[in-house]
Amino acid sequence: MIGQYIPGHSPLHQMDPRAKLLFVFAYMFAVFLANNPATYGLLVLFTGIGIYFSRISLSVFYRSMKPVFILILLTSLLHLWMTRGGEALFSFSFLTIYEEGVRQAIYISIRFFLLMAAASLLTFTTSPIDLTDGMESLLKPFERLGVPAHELALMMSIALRFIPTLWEETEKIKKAQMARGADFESGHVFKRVKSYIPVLIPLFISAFRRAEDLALAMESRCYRGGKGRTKWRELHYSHLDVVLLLLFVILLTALWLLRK
Amino acid sequence: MIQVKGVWFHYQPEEAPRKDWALQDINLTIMPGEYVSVIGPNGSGKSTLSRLLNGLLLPVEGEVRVGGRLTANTQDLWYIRQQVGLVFQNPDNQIVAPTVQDDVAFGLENLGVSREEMKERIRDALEAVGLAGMEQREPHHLSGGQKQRLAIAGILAMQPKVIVFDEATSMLDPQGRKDVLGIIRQLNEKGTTVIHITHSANEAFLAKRVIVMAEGRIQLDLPADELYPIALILEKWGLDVPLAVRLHHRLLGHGWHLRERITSLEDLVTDLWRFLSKD
Repeated sequence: MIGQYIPGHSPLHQMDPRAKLLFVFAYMFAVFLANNPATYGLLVLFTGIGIYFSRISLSVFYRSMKPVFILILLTSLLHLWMTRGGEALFSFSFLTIYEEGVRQAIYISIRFFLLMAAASLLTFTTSPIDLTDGMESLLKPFERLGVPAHELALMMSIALRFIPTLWEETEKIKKAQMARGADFESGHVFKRVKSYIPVLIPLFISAFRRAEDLALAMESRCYRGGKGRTKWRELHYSHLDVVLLLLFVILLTALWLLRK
Repeated sequence: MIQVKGVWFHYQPEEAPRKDWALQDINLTIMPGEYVSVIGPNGSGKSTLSRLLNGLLLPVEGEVRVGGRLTANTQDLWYIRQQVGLVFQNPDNQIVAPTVQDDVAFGLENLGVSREEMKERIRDALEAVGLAGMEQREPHHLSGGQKQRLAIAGILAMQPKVIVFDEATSMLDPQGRKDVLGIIRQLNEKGTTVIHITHSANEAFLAKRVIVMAEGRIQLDLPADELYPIALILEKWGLDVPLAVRLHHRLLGHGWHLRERITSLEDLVTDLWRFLSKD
């Protein structure tokens, strides 16, 4: 997802992953309640406070959001150009910018920023293992409906475990192919992408072999699905999560009152 | 503890003639507390045998019993796998979880052990393999030897009676190998039955009983100190012979007056001292 986990001890870090996940999910809907300067202002303020309490430096935050800003810029330009309505503010040959276009561009940019900021805060302050646990726990009630909560969580956890291993292996294969004269740097994009095929094929073969080995090792350690399994990791709600809930209720009420 | 009776095995039994089967008429009894090594060249069937011991594979003919229970009985399978732990060759491919303590917990979660007890078992297991204090580490930050010790801890926490090491040292550097072999010895001294599968003669002779496998059959099954003096026979199956045995043989050939039989490297060394001090 967005942004990499930054270990820390801020209030946001200490919140329960389930609380944070639920909050971000609800927040994404709340953002769409905003429809005037007051409500957007309130949301920006709220997110700003969130960033402050995450104890993540603004420069780090800015850097990880950079690609998002480019996207925001592009969409707002599109809005300026395409949206019609209200008074024409500016006109130059085929390009006319309307009042509504400016408003939409600003609102959409803010909305986009708010959504990405909330998602980034979640991944910045929650370790992937905690996120996995949180998701498993939240999905557990839906197991009866056929949602494979345990399996999904285990898949994510194994993926987390093996990403660094496979990454190391990629580097190794790359070096081995380079030693045999492979060239990954020159040529146009298409050629460069193609030059990775001799890396990917051995990588895939080895990944399948690893998967087979791992399955044997898991079976040897009595793995037989989620049934009858106890859990080593436990999640605990704390007073911080109650604070988060209260804040969200207040935010929602304020949004409701301020929107036109 | 483990009884293997008249076992024949092949992955595709219909397609191969019986003389090509991976395992042919294997008979074997392993007593509680034994330290056995199985040695054999590649393709001798020794790894296949290890997978039969905890029911990962089932014999095509014959039977395997663990603590009296048949591996072919599905309802006993989980008991058997708890009793017989398997440590594999590649340390990377048997670690499931993203941190050290989560990985040790994996087997315990599967067994349904309570969280309170898990805490104790994880601590004890990590201590036994010398990884205490690394609970939060991520596996890819461990060395090969440490990863293999983690794999052992994961098995150990399940409190098995038998641990089978399937070429568990072959991918390690010398230091890692030494550490793992040390742990194997300690485990056996504390009463765990150990079956060490290897293609290194030096490692095989650390055990008290050595089984030589080749072409799917058990060729020899002897106490280590009986096999040692005649270890030159291992060359017959393309296995390496301990240096001391080869040296002893050559010295005898050169007319040195040494004992006819040596049972360990130390034997040869004392003999040489005696021989040389006579001059």
